[in-house]
Amino acid sequence: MNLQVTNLSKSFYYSPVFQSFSLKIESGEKIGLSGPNGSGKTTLLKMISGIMSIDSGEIRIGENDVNSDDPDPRKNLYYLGHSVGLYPSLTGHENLAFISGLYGKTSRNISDILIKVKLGSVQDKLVKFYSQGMLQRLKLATAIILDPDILLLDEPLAGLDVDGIKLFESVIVEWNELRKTMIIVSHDSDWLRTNTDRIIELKQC
Amino acid sequence: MLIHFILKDLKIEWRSKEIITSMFIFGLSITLIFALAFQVAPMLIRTFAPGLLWVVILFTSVLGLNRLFSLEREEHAMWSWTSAPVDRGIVYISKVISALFFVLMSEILFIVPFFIFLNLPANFSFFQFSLILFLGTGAIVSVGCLISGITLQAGLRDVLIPILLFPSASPVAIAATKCTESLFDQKPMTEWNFWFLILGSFFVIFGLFGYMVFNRIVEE
Repeated sequence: MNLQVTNLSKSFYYSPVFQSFSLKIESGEKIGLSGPNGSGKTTLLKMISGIMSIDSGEIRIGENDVNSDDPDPRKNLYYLGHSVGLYPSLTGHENLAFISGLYGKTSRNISDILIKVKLGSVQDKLVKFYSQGMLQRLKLATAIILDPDILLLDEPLAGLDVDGIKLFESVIVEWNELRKTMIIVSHDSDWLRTNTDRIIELKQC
Repeated sequence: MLIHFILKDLKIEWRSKEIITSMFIFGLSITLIFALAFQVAPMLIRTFAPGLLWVVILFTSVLGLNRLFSLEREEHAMWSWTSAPVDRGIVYISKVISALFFVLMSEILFIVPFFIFLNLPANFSFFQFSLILFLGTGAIVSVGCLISGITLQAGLRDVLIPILLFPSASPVAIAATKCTESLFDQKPMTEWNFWFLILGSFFVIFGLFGYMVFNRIVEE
Protein backbone atom coordinates (compact mmCIF):
# COMPACT_ATOMS: atom_id res chain seq x y z
CA MET A 1 0.00 0.00 0.00
CA ASN A 2 1.49 3.35 -1.00
CA LEU A 3 1.80 6.40 1.24
CA GLN A 4 1.72 9.98 0.06
CA VAL A 5 2.44 13.12 2.08
CA THR A 6 1.60 16.35 0.26
CA ASN A 7 2.47 19.93 1.32
CA LEU A 8 2.57 19.00 4.97
CA SER A 9 3.08 21.82 7.46
CA LYS A 10 3.42 21.58 11.22
CA SER A 11 4.52 24.12 13.81
CA PHE A 12 5.01 23.97 17.55
CA TYR A 13 4.33 27.30 19.25
CA TYR A 14 4.86 29.17 15.95
CA SER A 15 8.17 27.37 15.39
CA PRO A 16 7.83 25.41 12.11
CA VAL A 17 9.00 21.80 12.01
CA PHE A 18 7.64 21.06 8.51
CA GLN A 19 6.85 23.56 5.77
CA SER A 20 5.23 22.24 2.60
CA PHE A 21 6.90 18.86 3.07
CA SER A 22 6.05 16.20 0.49
CA LEU A 23 6.97 12.54 0.31
CA LYS A 24 5.84 9.58 -1.76
CA ILE A 25 6.52 6.00 -0.75
CA GLU A 26 5.54 3.20 -3.08
CA SER A 27 3.96 0.00 -1.89
CA GLY A 28 6.58 -2.42 -0.52
CA GLU A 29 9.27 0.24 -0.25
CA LYS A 30 11.54 0.36 2.80
CA ILE A 31 12.52 3.91 3.72
CA GLY A 32 15.12 5.01 6.25
CA LEU A 33 14.52 8.33 7.99
CA SER A 34 17.48 10.08 9.55
CA GLY A 35 18.40 13.56 10.70
CA PRO A 36 19.54 15.49 13.74
CA ASN A 37 17.53 15.73 16.97
CA GLY A 38 14.52 18.00 16.51
CA SER A 39 14.41 17.57 12.73
CA GLY A 40 10.91 16.07 12.99
CA LYS A 41 11.44 12.32 12.41
CA THR A 42 9.16 11.21 15.26
CA THR A 43 6.74 14.05 14.56
CA LEU A 44 6.37 12.87 10.96
CA LEU A 45 5.62 9.30 12.03
CA LYS A 46 3.13 10.49 14.65
CA MET A 47 1.34 12.62 12.05
CA ILE A 48 1.19 9.73 9.58
CA SER A 49 -0.19 7.42 12.28
CA GLY A 50 -2.88 9.96 13.28
CA ILE A 51 -1.55 10.44 16.82
CA MET A 52 -0.63 14.04 16.05
CA SER A 53 -2.70 16.58 14.14
CA ILE A 54 -1.33 18.41 11.10
CA ASP A 55 -1.58 22.16 10.49
CA SER A 56 -2.10 21.84 6.74
CA GLY A 57 -1.47 19.44 3.88
CA GLU A 58 -2.58 15.90 3.29
CA ILE A 59 -1.46 12.41 4.24
CA ARG A 60 -2.92 9.60 2.14
CA ILE A 61 -2.67 5.86 2.57
CA GLY A 62 -3.76 4.43 -0.75
CA GLU A 63 -6.79 6.56 -1.56
CA ASN A 64 -7.70 7.43 2.02
CA ASP A 65 -6.91 10.59 3.97
CA VAL A 66 -5.44 9.68 7.38
CA ASN A 67 -6.51 12.95 8.98
CA SER A 68 -10.17 12.67 8.13
CA ASP A 69 -12.62 11.76 10.90
CA ASP A 70 -12.90 8.28 9.38
CA PRO A 71 -10.70 5.93 11.47
CA ASP A 72 -10.63 3.21 8.79
CA PRO A 73 -7.37 4.23 7.03
CA ARG A 74 -5.51 3.67 10.31
CA LYS A 75 -6.24 -0.08 10.19
CA ASN A 76 -3.53 -0.47 7.56
CA LEU A 77 -0.69 0.91 9.65
CA TYR A 78 1.05 0.42 12.98
CA TYR A 79 3.30 2.93 14.71
CA LEU A 80 6.01 1.36 16.83
CA GLY A 81 7.10 4.41 18.82
CA HIS A 82 10.11 4.88 21.03
CA SER A 83 7.73 5.53 23.94
CA VAL A 84 5.99 2.49 25.35
CA GLY A 85 2.40 3.02 24.15
CA LEU A 86 1.13 0.15 26.30
CA TYR A 87 -0.77 -0.03 29.60
CA PRO A 88 1.72 -0.58 32.46
CA SER A 89 -1.01 -2.05 34.70
CA LEU A 90 -1.94 -4.77 32.20
CA THR A 91 0.12 -7.88 31.46
CA GLY A 92 1.93 -8.34 28.16
CA HIS A 93 -0.74 -10.79 27.00
CA GLU A 94 -3.59 -8.47 28.06
CA ASN A 95 -2.04 -5.52 26.26
CA LEU A 96 -1.74 -7.51 23.06
CA ALA A 97 -5.30 -8.82 23.38
CA PHE A 98 -6.56 -5.25 23.91
CA ILE A 99 -4.67 -3.79 20.93
CA SER A 100 -5.49 -6.67 18.59
CA GLY A 101 -9.15 -6.20 19.55
CA LEU A 102 -8.94 -2.55 18.45
CA TYR A 103 -7.84 -3.73 15.00
CA GLY A 104 -10.49 -6.43 14.87
CA LYS A 105 -7.92 -9.24 15.06
CA THR A 106 -8.47 -12.44 16.99
CA SER A 107 -6.38 -12.98 20.09
CA ARG A 108 -5.95 -16.74 19.61
CA ASN A 109 -2.31 -16.77 18.50
CA ILE A 110 -1.02 -14.16 20.99
CA SER A 111 0.78 -16.71 23.17
CA ASP A 112 2.53 -18.24 20.14
CA ILE A 113 3.78 -14.86 18.99
CA LEU A 114 4.94 -13.95 22.49
CA ILE A 115 6.89 -17.20 22.56
CA LYS A 116 8.38 -16.31 19.15
CA VAL A 117 9.68 -12.97 20.50
CA LYS A 118 10.99 -14.75 23.64
CA LEU A 119 8.41 -13.30 26.01
CA GLY A 120 6.47 -16.51 26.58
CA SER A 121 7.64 -16.85 30.18
CA VAL A 122 6.71 -13.29 31.14
CA GLN A 123 3.46 -12.88 29.20
CA ASP A 124 1.40 -12.83 32.42
CA LYS A 125 3.66 -10.28 34.12
CA LEU A 126 2.54 -6.64 34.34
CA VAL A 127 4.16 -4.49 31.67
CA LYS A 128 5.40 -2.00 34.30
CA PHE A 129 7.90 -4.67 35.37
CA TYR A 130 9.27 -5.18 31.83
CA SER A 131 12.77 -4.00 30.92
CA GLN A 132 13.34 -1.68 27.95
CA GLY A 133 14.35 -4.61 25.75
CA MET A 134 11.31 -6.65 26.78
CA LEU A 135 9.05 -3.70 25.96
CA GLN A 136 10.63 -3.44 22.54
CA ARG A 137 10.02 -7.15 21.96
CA LEU A 138 6.41 -6.71 23.09
CA LYS A 139 5.93 -3.90 20.57
CA LEU A 140 7.45 -6.13 17.91
CA ALA A 141 4.94 -8.83 18.88
CA THR A 142 2.14 -6.26 18.52
CA ALA A 143 3.31 -5.39 15.02
CA ILE A 144 3.44 -9.10 14.08
CA ILE A 145 -0.09 -9.74 15.37
CA LEU A 146 -1.60 -6.69 13.68
CA ASP A 147 0.12 -7.54 10.40
CA PRO A 148 -0.49 -4.08 8.86
CA ASP A 149 0.48 -3.04 5.33
CA ILE A 150 2.48 -0.05 6.55
CA LEU A 151 4.90 -0.14 9.48
CA LEU A 152 6.24 3.03 11.08
CA LEU A 153 9.24 1.98 13.15
CA ASP A 154 10.74 4.64 15.41
CA GLU A 155 14.15 3.57 16.71
CA PRO A 156 13.05 -0.10 16.68
CA LEU A 157 16.38 -1.46 17.89
CA ALA A 158 16.70 0.84 20.91
CA GLY A 159 17.22 -1.15 24.11
CA LEU A 160 17.46 -4.52 22.38
CA ASP A 161 20.27 -6.98 23.11
CA VAL A 162 22.17 -8.80 20.34
CA ASP A 163 19.57 -11.59 20.15
CA GLY A 164 16.79 -9.01 20.09
CA ILE A 165 18.42 -7.12 17.23
CA LYS A 166 18.83 -10.37 15.25
CA LEU A 167 15.18 -11.23 15.91
CA PHE A 168 14.01 -7.79 14.80
CA GLU A 169 16.15 -7.94 11.66
CA SER A 170 14.75 -11.36 10.79
CA VAL A 171 11.21 -10.04 11.17
CA ILE A 172 12.06 -7.05 8.97
CA VAL A 173 13.31 -9.51 6.31
CA GLU A 174 9.98 -11.40 6.58
CA TRP A 175 8.04 -8.14 6.23
CA ASN A 176 10.18 -7.22 3.24
CA GLU A 177 9.32 -10.53 1.57
CA LEU A 178 5.66 -9.82 2.25
CA ARG A 179 6.08 -6.43 0.46
CA LYS A 180 5.20 -4.39 3.55
CA THR A 181 5.82 -0.67 3.31
CA MET A 182 8.17 0.47 6.06
CA ILE A 183 9.52 3.75 7.37
CA ILE A 184 12.34 3.19 9.82
CA VAL A 185 13.78 5.98 11.97
CA SER A 186 17.31 5.43 13.22
CA HIS A 187 20.40 7.43 14.10
CA ASP A 188 22.55 4.52 12.85
CA SER A 189 23.21 5.53 9.25
CA ASP A 190 25.18 2.36 8.48
CA TRP A 191 22.31 0.17 9.66
CA LEU A 192 19.84 2.18 7.59
CA ARG A 193 22.06 1.94 4.48
CA THR A 194 22.20 -1.85 4.84
CA ASN A 195 18.56 -2.44 5.70
CA THR A 196 16.54 0.09 3.68
CA ASP A 197 15.95 0.87 0.01
CA ARG A 198 16.62 4.60 0.36
CA ILE A 199 17.31 7.11 3.10
CA ILE A 200 15.56 10.45 3.56
CA GLU A 201 17.56 12.99 5.53
CA LEU A 202 15.42 15.49 7.42
CA LYS A 203 16.82 18.89 8.25
CA GLN A 204 15.69 21.39 10.86
CA CYS A 205 13.49 24.17 9.44
CA MET B 1 -15.45 -1.94 20.93
CA LEU B 2 -17.13 0.04 23.74
CA ILE B 3 -17.12 -3.02 26.01
CA HIS B 4 -13.47 -3.59 25.11
CA PHE B 5 -12.47 -0.17 26.53
CA ILE B 6 -14.73 -0.43 29.59
CA LEU B 7 -13.39 -3.87 30.47
CA LYS B 8 -9.84 -2.57 30.17
CA ASP B 9 -10.55 0.23 32.68
CA LEU B 10 -12.39 -2.15 35.02
CA LYS B 11 -9.58 -4.71 34.84
CA ILE B 12 -6.95 -2.09 35.73
CA GLU B 13 -9.11 -0.78 38.61
CA TRP B 14 -9.90 -4.31 39.86
CA ARG B 15 -6.16 -4.94 40.04
CA SER B 16 -5.12 -1.68 41.68
CA LYS B 17 -8.34 -0.52 43.43
CA GLU B 18 -6.78 2.95 43.34
CA ILE B 19 -9.70 4.98 42.01
CA ILE B 20 -12.59 3.77 44.17
CA THR B 21 -10.45 3.54 47.33
CA SER B 22 -9.03 7.04 46.99
CA MET B 23 -12.46 8.52 46.19
CA PHE B 24 -14.06 6.71 49.15
CA ILE B 25 -11.38 7.80 51.63
CA PHE B 26 -11.48 11.37 50.33
CA GLY B 27 -15.30 11.47 50.45
CA LEU B 28 -15.30 10.03 53.96
CA SER B 29 -12.68 12.58 55.12
CA ILE B 30 -14.69 15.55 53.83
CA THR B 31 -17.85 14.11 55.41
CA LEU B 32 -16.04 13.83 58.75
CA ILE B 33 -14.77 17.41 58.47
CA PHE B 34 -18.31 18.63 57.76
CA ALA B 35 -19.74 16.58 60.63
CA LEU B 36 -17.18 17.89 63.10
CA ALA B 37 -17.19 21.48 61.83
CA PHE B 38 -20.97 22.02 61.72
CA GLN B 39 -22.11 21.68 65.32
CA VAL B 40 -25.55 23.14 64.60
CA ALA B 41 -29.18 22.21 65.18
CA PRO B 42 -30.39 19.08 63.30
CA MET B 43 -32.92 21.14 61.31
CA LEU B 44 -30.19 23.49 60.14
CA ILE B 45 -27.81 20.72 59.07
CA ARG B 46 -30.69 19.16 57.13
CA THR B 47 -30.95 22.42 55.17
CA PHE B 48 -27.24 22.35 54.35
CA ALA B 49 -26.96 18.59 53.76
CA PRO B 50 -27.99 18.43 50.06
CA GLY B 51 -25.41 21.08 49.12
CA LEU B 52 -22.73 19.41 51.22
CA LEU B 53 -23.48 16.05 49.64
CA TRP B 54 -23.00 17.41 46.11
CA VAL B 55 -19.83 19.26 47.11
CA VAL B 56 -18.44 15.93 48.34
CA ILE B 57 -19.52 14.19 45.11
CA LEU B 58 -18.01 16.94 42.93
CA PHE B 59 -14.68 16.87 44.83
CA THR B 60 -14.41 13.07 44.77
CA SER B 61 -15.32 13.02 41.05
CA VAL B 62 -12.33 15.24 40.28
CA LEU B 63 -10.08 12.74 42.01
CA GLY B 64 -11.56 9.80 40.09
CA LEU B 65 -11.55 11.53 36.70
CA ASN B 66 -7.96 12.63 37.14
CA ARG B 67 -6.82 9.10 37.91
CA LEU B 68 -8.95 7.49 35.19
CA PHE B 69 -7.38 9.65 32.49
CA SER B 70 -3.90 9.36 34.01
CA LEU B 71 -4.02 5.69 32.98
CA GLU B 72 -3.94 6.88 29.36
CA ARG B 73 -0.97 9.19 29.93
CA GLU B 74 1.26 6.67 31.69
CA GLU B 75 3.88 5.47 29.20
CA HIS B 76 1.80 7.09 26.42
CA ALA B 77 -0.66 4.17 26.67
CA MET B 78 -3.22 6.24 24.74
CA TRP B 79 -1.09 5.86 21.59
CA SER B 80 -2.40 2.29 21.46
CA TRP B 81 -5.86 3.64 20.50
CA THR B 82 -5.09 7.08 19.03
CA SER B 83 -3.18 5.33 16.23
CA ALA B 84 -5.75 2.52 15.92
CA PRO B 85 -8.78 2.38 13.61
CA VAL B 86 -11.08 3.35 16.45
CA ASP B 87 -13.82 5.97 16.60
CA ARG B 88 -12.40 8.06 19.44
CA GLY B 89 -15.91 9.16 20.41
CA ILE B 90 -16.38 5.57 21.60
CA VAL B 91 -13.40 6.05 23.91
CA TYR B 92 -15.12 9.11 25.40
CA ILE B 93 -18.36 7.18 25.96
CA SER B 94 -16.39 4.33 27.56
CA LYS B 95 -14.68 6.79 29.89
CA VAL B 96 -18.04 8.31 30.88
CA ILE B 97 -19.42 4.83 31.67
CA SER B 98 -16.29 3.78 33.59
CA ALA B 99 -16.18 7.07 35.52
CA LEU B 100 -19.90 6.85 36.28
CA PHE B 101 -19.43 3.33 37.61
CA PHE B 102 -16.42 4.26 39.77
CA VAL B 103 -18.00 7.43 41.19
CA LEU B 104 -21.31 5.65 41.92
CA MET B 105 -19.43 2.84 43.68
CA SER B 106 -17.58 5.31 45.88
CA GLU B 107 -20.87 7.17 46.55
CA ILE B 108 -22.49 3.94 47.74
CA LEU B 109 -19.60 3.57 50.18
CA PHE B 110 -19.53 7.09 51.62
CA ILE B 111 -23.22 8.06 51.53
CA VAL B 112 -24.13 5.81 54.48
CA PRO B 113 -21.44 7.41 56.72
CA PHE B 114 -22.58 10.81 55.37
CA PHE B 115 -26.11 10.24 56.72
CA ILE B 116 -24.82 8.73 59.98
CA PHE B 117 -22.19 11.39 60.78
CA LEU B 118 -24.48 14.31 59.91
CA ASN B 119 -27.34 12.63 61.76
CA LEU B 120 -29.72 12.92 58.82
CA PRO B 121 -33.06 11.10 58.68
CA ALA B 122 -33.52 8.89 55.62
CA ASN B 123 -37.29 9.26 55.25
CA PHE B 124 -37.51 9.73 51.49
CA SER B 125 -37.90 7.65 48.35
CA PHE B 126 -34.66 5.69 47.77
CA PHE B 127 -35.63 5.11 44.16
CA GLN B 128 -35.89 8.85 43.48
CA PHE B 129 -32.70 9.49 45.45
CA SER B 130 -30.88 6.86 43.34
CA LEU B 131 -32.18 8.51 40.16
CA ILE B 132 -30.92 11.93 41.28
CA LEU B 133 -27.53 10.44 42.18
CA PHE B 134 -27.32 8.63 38.84
CA LEU B 135 -28.26 11.63 36.69
CA GLY B 136 -26.28 14.16 38.76
CA THR B 137 -23.16 11.99 38.75
CA GLY B 138 -23.66 11.21 35.06
CA ALA B 139 -23.86 14.92 34.23
CA ILE B 140 -20.73 15.68 36.28
CA VAL B 141 -18.69 12.88 34.67
CA SER B 142 -19.86 13.69 31.12
CA VAL B 143 -18.58 17.26 31.58
CA GLY B 144 -15.58 16.00 33.53
CA CYS B 145 -14.52 13.44 30.90
CA LEU B 146 -14.67 16.13 28.22
CA ILE B 147 -12.47 18.46 30.30
CA SER B 148 -10.12 15.60 31.19
CA GLY B 149 -9.79 14.83 27.47
CA ILE B 150 -9.04 18.47 26.66
CA THR B 151 -6.37 18.63 29.37
CA LEU B 152 -4.95 15.18 28.60
CA GLN B 153 -1.83 16.62 26.94
CA ALA B 154 -1.49 19.61 29.28
CA GLY B 155 1.35 19.78 31.78
CA LEU B 156 -0.82 21.39 34.46
CA ARG B 157 -3.74 19.01 34.03
CA ASP B 158 -4.03 18.20 37.75
CA VAL B 159 -4.71 21.88 38.39
CA LEU B 160 -6.69 22.52 35.21
CA ILE B 161 -9.32 19.82 35.75
CA PRO B 162 -10.83 21.34 38.94
CA ILE B 163 -10.38 24.91 37.64
CA LEU B 164 -12.36 24.08 34.50
CA LEU B 165 -14.73 21.51 35.95
CA PHE B 166 -16.10 23.42 38.94
CA PRO B 167 -17.52 26.37 36.96
CA SER B 168 -18.71 24.09 34.12
CA ALA B 169 -20.42 21.68 36.47
CA SER B 170 -21.91 24.34 38.76
CA PRO B 171 -25.34 24.22 37.01
CA VAL B 172 -25.31 20.45 37.63
CA ALA B 173 -24.36 20.90 41.29
CA ILE B 174 -27.12 23.52 41.73
CA ALA B 175 -29.78 21.41 39.98
CA ALA B 176 -28.75 18.25 41.87
CA THR B 177 -28.79 20.15 45.18
CA LYS B 178 -32.30 21.52 44.43
CA CYS B 179 -33.56 18.02 43.57
CA THR B 180 -32.00 16.48 46.69
CA GLU B 181 -33.26 19.31 48.91
CA SER B 182 -36.82 18.89 47.60
CA LEU B 183 -36.60 15.13 48.06
CA PHE B 184 -35.35 15.49 51.66
CA ASP B 185 -38.26 17.89 52.29
CA GLN B 186 -40.58 15.24 50.82
CA LYS B 187 -41.98 17.60 48.21
CA PRO B 188 -43.82 15.96 45.30
CA MET B 189 -41.71 15.44 42.17
CA THR B 190 -43.94 17.80 40.15
CA GLU B 191 -42.44 20.66 42.19
CA TRP B 192 -38.83 19.85 41.33
CA ASN B 193 -39.00 18.03 38.00
CA PHE B 194 -37.60 21.18 36.30
CA TRP B 195 -34.27 20.68 38.10
CA PHE B 196 -34.42 16.97 37.40
CA LEU B 197 -34.80 17.69 33.66
CA ILE B 198 -31.81 20.03 33.80
CA LEU B 199 -29.71 17.15 35.17
CA GLY B 200 -30.91 14.81 32.44
CA SER B 201 -30.37 17.44 29.73
CA PHE B 202 -26.81 18.15 30.90
CA PHE B 203 -26.01 14.44 30.89
CA VAL B 204 -27.36 13.91 27.36
CA ILE B 205 -26.12 17.17 25.77
CA PHE B 206 -22.57 16.95 27.15
CA GLY B 207 -22.51 13.22 26.42
CA LEU B 208 -23.34 13.82 22.76
CA PHE B 209 -21.06 16.86 22.49
CA GLY B 210 -18.17 14.91 24.00
CA TYR B 211 -18.77 12.03 21.59
CA MET B 212 -18.65 14.41 18.61
CA VAL B 213 -15.55 16.43 19.55
CA PHE B 214 -13.40 13.85 21.36
CA ASN B 215 -11.84 12.73 18.07
CA ARG B 216 -10.09 16.09 17.68
CA ILE B 217 -9.32 16.99 21.28
CA VAL B 218 -7.17 13.95 22.05
CA GLU B 219 -4.77 14.58 19.16
CA GLU B 220 -1.35 15.89 20.14
